Amino acid sequence: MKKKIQYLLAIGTLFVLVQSSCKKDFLEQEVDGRLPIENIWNTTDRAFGFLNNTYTNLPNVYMRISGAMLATASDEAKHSSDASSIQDIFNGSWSPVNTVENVWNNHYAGIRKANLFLENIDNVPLQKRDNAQGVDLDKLKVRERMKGEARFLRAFFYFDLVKRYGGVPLVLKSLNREEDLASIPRASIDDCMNQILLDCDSAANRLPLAYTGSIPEFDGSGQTGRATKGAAMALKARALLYYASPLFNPNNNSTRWATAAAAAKAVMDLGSGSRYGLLPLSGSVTHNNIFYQATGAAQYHNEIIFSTSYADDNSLERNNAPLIVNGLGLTNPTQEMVDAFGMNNGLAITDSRSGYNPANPYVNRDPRFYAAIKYHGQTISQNDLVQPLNVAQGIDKLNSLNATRTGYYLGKFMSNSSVWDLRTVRANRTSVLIRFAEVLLNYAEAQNESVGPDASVYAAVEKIRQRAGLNPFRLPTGLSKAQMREVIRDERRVELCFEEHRFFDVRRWRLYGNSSVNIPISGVNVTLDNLFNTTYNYFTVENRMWSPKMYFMPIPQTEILKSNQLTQNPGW
Amino acid sequence: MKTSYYIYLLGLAAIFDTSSSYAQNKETATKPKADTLTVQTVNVAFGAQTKKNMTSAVSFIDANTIKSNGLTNISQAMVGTLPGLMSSLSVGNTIAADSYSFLVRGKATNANTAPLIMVDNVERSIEYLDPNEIESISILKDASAQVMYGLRGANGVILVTTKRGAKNNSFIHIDTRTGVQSPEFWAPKLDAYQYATIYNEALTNDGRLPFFTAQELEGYQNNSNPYLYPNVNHQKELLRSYAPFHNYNFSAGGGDKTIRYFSSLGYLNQEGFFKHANVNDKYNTQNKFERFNFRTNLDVTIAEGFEAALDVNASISNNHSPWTFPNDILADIRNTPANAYPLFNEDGSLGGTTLYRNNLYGQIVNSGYRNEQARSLQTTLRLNKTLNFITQGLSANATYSIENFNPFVSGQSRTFAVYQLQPLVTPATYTAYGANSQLSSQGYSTSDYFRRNILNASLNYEYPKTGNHSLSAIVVYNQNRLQISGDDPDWKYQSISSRVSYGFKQKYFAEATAAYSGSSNFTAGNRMGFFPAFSAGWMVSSESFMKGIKAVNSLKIRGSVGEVGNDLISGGRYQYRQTSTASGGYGFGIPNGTSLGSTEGALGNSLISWEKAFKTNIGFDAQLFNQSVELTADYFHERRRDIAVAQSASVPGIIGISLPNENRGVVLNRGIDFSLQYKHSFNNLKLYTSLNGMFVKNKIIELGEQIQQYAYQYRKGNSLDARFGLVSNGIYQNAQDVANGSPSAYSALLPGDIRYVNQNPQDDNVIDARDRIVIGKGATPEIYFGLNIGGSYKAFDFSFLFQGAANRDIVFVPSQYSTAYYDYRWTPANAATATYPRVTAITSGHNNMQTSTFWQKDGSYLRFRNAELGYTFKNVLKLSSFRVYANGFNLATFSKLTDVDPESQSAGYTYAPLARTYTLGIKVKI
Repeated sequence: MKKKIQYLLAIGTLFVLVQSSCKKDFLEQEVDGRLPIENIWNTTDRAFGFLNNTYTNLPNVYMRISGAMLATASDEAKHSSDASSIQDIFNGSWSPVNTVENVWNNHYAGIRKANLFLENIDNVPLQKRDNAQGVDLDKLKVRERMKGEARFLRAFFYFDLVKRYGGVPLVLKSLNREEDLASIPRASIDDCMNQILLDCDSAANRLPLAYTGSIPEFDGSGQTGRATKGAAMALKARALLYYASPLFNPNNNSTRWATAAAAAKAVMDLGSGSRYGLLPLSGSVTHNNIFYQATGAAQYHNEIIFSTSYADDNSLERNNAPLIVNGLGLTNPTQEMVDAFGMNNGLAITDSRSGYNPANPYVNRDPRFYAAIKYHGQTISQNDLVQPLNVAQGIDKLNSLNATRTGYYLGKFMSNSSVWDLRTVRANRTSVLIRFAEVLLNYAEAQNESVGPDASVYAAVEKIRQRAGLNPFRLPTGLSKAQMREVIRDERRVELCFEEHRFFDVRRWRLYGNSSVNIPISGVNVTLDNLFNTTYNYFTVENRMWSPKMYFMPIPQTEILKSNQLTQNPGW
Repeated sequence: MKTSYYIYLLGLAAIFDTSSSYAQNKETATKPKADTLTVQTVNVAFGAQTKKNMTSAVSFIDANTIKSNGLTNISQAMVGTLPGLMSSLSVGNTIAADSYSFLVRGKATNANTAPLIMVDNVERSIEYLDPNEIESISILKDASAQVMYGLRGANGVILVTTKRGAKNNSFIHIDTRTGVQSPEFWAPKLDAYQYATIYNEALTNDGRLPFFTAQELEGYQNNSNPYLYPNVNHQKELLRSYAPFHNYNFSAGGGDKTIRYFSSLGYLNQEGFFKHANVNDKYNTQNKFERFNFRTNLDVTIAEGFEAALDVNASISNNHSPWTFPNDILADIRNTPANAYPLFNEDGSLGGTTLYRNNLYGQIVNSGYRNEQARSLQTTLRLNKTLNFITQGLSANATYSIENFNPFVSGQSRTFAVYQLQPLVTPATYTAYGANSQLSSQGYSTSDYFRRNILNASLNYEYPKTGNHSLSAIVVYNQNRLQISGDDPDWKYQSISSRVSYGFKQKYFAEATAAYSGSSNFTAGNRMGFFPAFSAGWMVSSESFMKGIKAVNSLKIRGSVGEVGNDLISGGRYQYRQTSTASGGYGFGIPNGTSLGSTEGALGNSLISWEKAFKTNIGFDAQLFNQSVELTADYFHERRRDIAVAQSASVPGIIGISLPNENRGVVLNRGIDFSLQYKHSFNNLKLYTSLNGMFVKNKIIELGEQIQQYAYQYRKGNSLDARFGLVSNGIYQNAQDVANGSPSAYSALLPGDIRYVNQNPQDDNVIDARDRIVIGKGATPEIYFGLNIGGSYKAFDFSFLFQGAANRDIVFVPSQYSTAYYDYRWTPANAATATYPRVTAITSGHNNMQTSTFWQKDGSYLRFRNAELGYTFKNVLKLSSFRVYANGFNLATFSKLTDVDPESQSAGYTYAPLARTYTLGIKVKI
């Protein structure tokens, strides 16, 4: 009996062994929570979601480059830390191995998404319906609109690359590993621009004017934030303006200016001229409200032509507010930026009639100055604290630990209501990528170059000065083309400051000529004597190295080395 | 308290039946003149072999070595005691959290290099094992020994075997020790005046305005007002120089024909170094590590030839600390300048400023408390049945094992306010930052939870011992499933492996081993691999021509060759296919809306596979001079191929998508390891010494590197750890010097900055990343050794362990605010004698802080790891032995470095310091 039990046990053990070893699929994963790649193109939800995801590759102007704004690499501002990598752009260490700002991979990832979408979307089965076409007509409309979005986004990424590097490899289909990627050369600037314009036109034809329609999926308000017809046309106008500018138009082909002016004019004329306008300012709505939601400045207001989606955020305030209100004070506007703001009577501070008082430099300035700059003596309401800014003494004293390096802090974009101490209150903010003020300035610039300062040029610039609250806002009559060019450039510098325009504008204008120069950046040293008299001494914060090769950025060395065909920009 | 504990334990011991006498089971091992090689067995994969039969390379230590060198865990006992095993220390964020990572014979891959760890033939974690429970540790070093583990064996295998009860051999051990721990060192810091001076100097050097006024400097210098001009020695105020340590273990073993048992109960208590931990009424905020261990290994003979074993091992540990993590507090102590704020204001409130809101006293006393608990339960059921009715010598074995590890954090936290005195205002006015809150309960599961289920089944065959032939064979089926929280799906392994050993006339030995083994990390059809190995041994001393050579007691030559795998490749699991996610939507709509999203994952590589290691080993074992000298040495060579390397280095970014790795890398690794033991008795003095060492080098043949501009930028041809950096060429002494030198891409140069060699003067005159060349060997040593000296004199016994490493280097950039920097920094006045560069206020990326030969130091070291002195009383209190002993652990470290640990540079800086431990113990055998 005992023996039998042993046999049975032994046989049982063996059975278990054989059983488990024969279970061949032990290593197969039952549920691994991962979806196969084919799933994306099986249903419209997933396929449309793929296009939605393409928007996540859009850039954001705030603190984008390792905690620094691109503005701190132009003459607009200085980053408070000398250790910030943004310094490398002008301290001589900018190079193909140290590109500082590298959008190459991100933008080509966005381009791949747009290409994949365009290649696959027509094969995605639409929901069946009992009608003439046999499919859901709303989905059909959405699909066509999304093709427009994909082409707009592709154009956006390409233009963002071209304005940095000039011609880049033109990839219009999704690439795979088997292809000879190393043999794809850079396309010419002309070819890139043509493709951008083609994509913009195609997008404009497919996209609605606004998302205020009656078909929720197609043009309902729930779709707000997607590219519109106006966005595609405005991107085209911007691309044409660059294409006409000296850097991209070395032979000064003047018809390009005319084309650029016409493209901008087309945006201004949308909806019989009523589709876009400038956000009206009032006591409670400041110039900064263009960028975050407030009473009187709704989300996606009429001035925004294209922007990233709104998100609650206070990191911008936390990073840039003065130390006294517990900010980190990272972006410090330069004296050059401050001096570019005129007086509230519309005159430049260099104009003898302006009323500018060097002993009291911050009175009666352009209202935009008070929004964009935090200066000595200004009352700061931030982080639930109200404090006068003192850059002469205390924690914010010039050059103190982590304090301002120029005597100023950033004010633009920032909401007074955001709080990050104990409580967390954020502003609902967007990063505006194209706004109507830029279109007006693009038009004025192109039209002035094309036909000279006609009435429409005056009107476009004055519209911006009027909205800013300058009184009088009129420009002096009888300006020459060259004088008007300077007026437009100054206006552009002030109106669009810190929005990643200046960095590229000085390049496309070839503002620094053909030789290597040092560009000094200045600040103010405010001192108080025993009687609390304030004196303002201006000093050079640093000299920035400029050389003509910097008109275009260096292509990352890693990309050059991986390719047989990719050529580096001259001088790098 | 301590004495009462002793009495309790002794009482507990007395209850046990002590009738059966204690027998030294070591005696067989020390009996002279016997053929020790046939008696001593060594654990190998799924079995044990006598030393005589072994043809593979295995290192081995026994319980005595483990117990005397493992202070709190068995990793410590492996450091410097096992030839071929290399350790590196990393200190933890709390007092008891220092740990060792191990390499078996160096590195042969840039991916995972951790050896596989097995306890009693099942995969286990050993972090919480009590050294008192361990019988032996084997290290499987060559392909022949590793191949049973198939695609998991290539990084080597650590086999741990726990103690078991034996028939008619019952014993009770009580071991109790208590002592103190003291930090090896704390990072040296500047006082307030020195700090302010150097800070102003840094700003001035950078062309900026000084921060501290002359008045403040004077205040710091005169200590005129400790509230307005604080000068706090944080280490003195907040840290103590010793902490208590207790460790108790009670173990018992024995049994009869039917049931054998081994039980062990252990308790460990280590305190940290905070002062002021007793301030709160209801709770203590000392950092304290406690661990309870319980193990029972039970063997039952169910019937003749049919045995069952049940092993249960439980451990519960708790790391108690202030709610603020101890390493955060230590880092803050290290980083807070002496003049930052007074710990207490004149009115007794906590000091602070807007920048320093976490008063250090407050962090220790007022942040609440935290308990990090870990519970581990390991159980194994094993059945063994002889199958002599089929054929003599055949048996079957089945093992099922579960391990469950469950960490949890609970505690109470609170915030506290700090107050800053307003200068020049009377009466004293304070600005408050933060607020005092009540304690609030906290608790969360940490993500390290895991569970492991293992099934082993084997058939064993042992050819009856007759005649000239010996034969043994084993076939093992193994499946292993690991569930880790947050790591979905499970990790699964499956294998069938087999070993056949043959011996002829106890002179010639051969062994063939093979595994067919798979991992769920790879795609179907590409996940099972075949791994073979072959080894042979020749007992030269048994040949007749050796008979005359008296000096040689035994000599065996061994050799092996085989291929093993490593499935833990870089790039993670599932690289064989492209996946997608249903996420990554975008916020369209007013107000902030959402939308569906989908994204594509990295492209798939359907061919992705494990690393293959082709290993050869040649060695010998010798016993000489009446067995007083034992020498074992091995030469090993490994070619690791199919190492997964990134494709992004070769595929242009315009593809716009992340790429999977591909199996393209190749690394060579080769070296020697040896152990030399010497035993001798001079009347009452018994002495033994044991020296083991290893010399190992690896070389990258191919690692899929990005195409580089200059040949010297390639890692290819160098070792895996080779360090790249700039070559320093002294310090710029004056403006003319700077003007003559190459500008730096890292920062503007001034006199006092480090000068570097421009490696590509033909192309540029700038020092940048392209000027980095191989400057050193890196942190992994090429030479590693241990020396153990021990013995006994009458009733005294002693043992010393040294461990060291050489041919390694480290880069340590000291803080500018350290005393050494302060004393030897470059200033125009002491330009001739300065050994450190000028100070700067730029805190990162500066020219002077680049990895360079300037900061590279020889990382060789020698540690006096362990010393133990004991005295054994015989026949006192009717105990079979009563031993008192003193032990010192981590006693000293010798290296060319000052104020920094050669292995763990954060020790005493941002992490807990390495602790020296001095203990006194009593060990009773009943």
